[in-house]
Amino acid sequence: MASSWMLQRFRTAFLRENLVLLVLLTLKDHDRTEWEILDGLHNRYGFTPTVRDFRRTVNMLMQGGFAIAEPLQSGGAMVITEGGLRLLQRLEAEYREILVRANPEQDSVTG
Amino acid sequence: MPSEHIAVIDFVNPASDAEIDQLVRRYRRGVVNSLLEYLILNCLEGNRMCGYDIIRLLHERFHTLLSPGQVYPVIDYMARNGLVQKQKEGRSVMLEASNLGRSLLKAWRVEFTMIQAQVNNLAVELKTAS
Repeated sequence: MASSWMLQRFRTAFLRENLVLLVLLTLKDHDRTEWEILDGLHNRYGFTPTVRDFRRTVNMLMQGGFAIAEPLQSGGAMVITEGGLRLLQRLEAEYREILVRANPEQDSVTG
Repeated sequence: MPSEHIAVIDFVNPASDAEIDQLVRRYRRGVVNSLLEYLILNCLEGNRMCGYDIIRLLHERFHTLLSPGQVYPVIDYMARNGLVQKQKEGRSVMLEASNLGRSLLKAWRVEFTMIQAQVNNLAVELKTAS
């Protein structure tokens, strides 16, 4: 019998590696603050990334020009850029490809 | 957890295709690694294989070549926890999924389907909202 910690370990490891994709998906149509992103991850997936993972993801997105931050006076939300949309498109395609290859018997298509 | 003072970047240098390719390759490798126990159990479902066969199969499927140093410790961990059984045959060690491994694979499949649905729903909701 698989115990719940085994399921949780699986979920956490998979979502952790998908953090960039999930953050970009969240930003796709709405500018969001970091708190809103974290809140969404927790509510939707029951997943709270570590401070280190989240900070590394945000820094990577900002430094790579995939997202920018609004001034704090305007709420300090993160905004996806054109480059971010291109990266998101590639990651979504890769995600679908991995799911199909990981579960050859299932047909897994995002959106 | 979030920073109180987010740095505002005025000028954004757009990422090149090569940089995006590199990120996508890193993403693929990371996801394959995070799914490694699941993928190993998937390979061993109804099959007996050695570690090398698993590496070769994963390479064929994902175009990501994992090193023995990445795969064998995971197999050892799974064997220690009773998820796979090892059997020495000549010079190779053959692996097969145990009953616990098979039941875990079933449970992980359900969990995996749930995660996919959650991610898919997010994509659909965002598409609908836009």
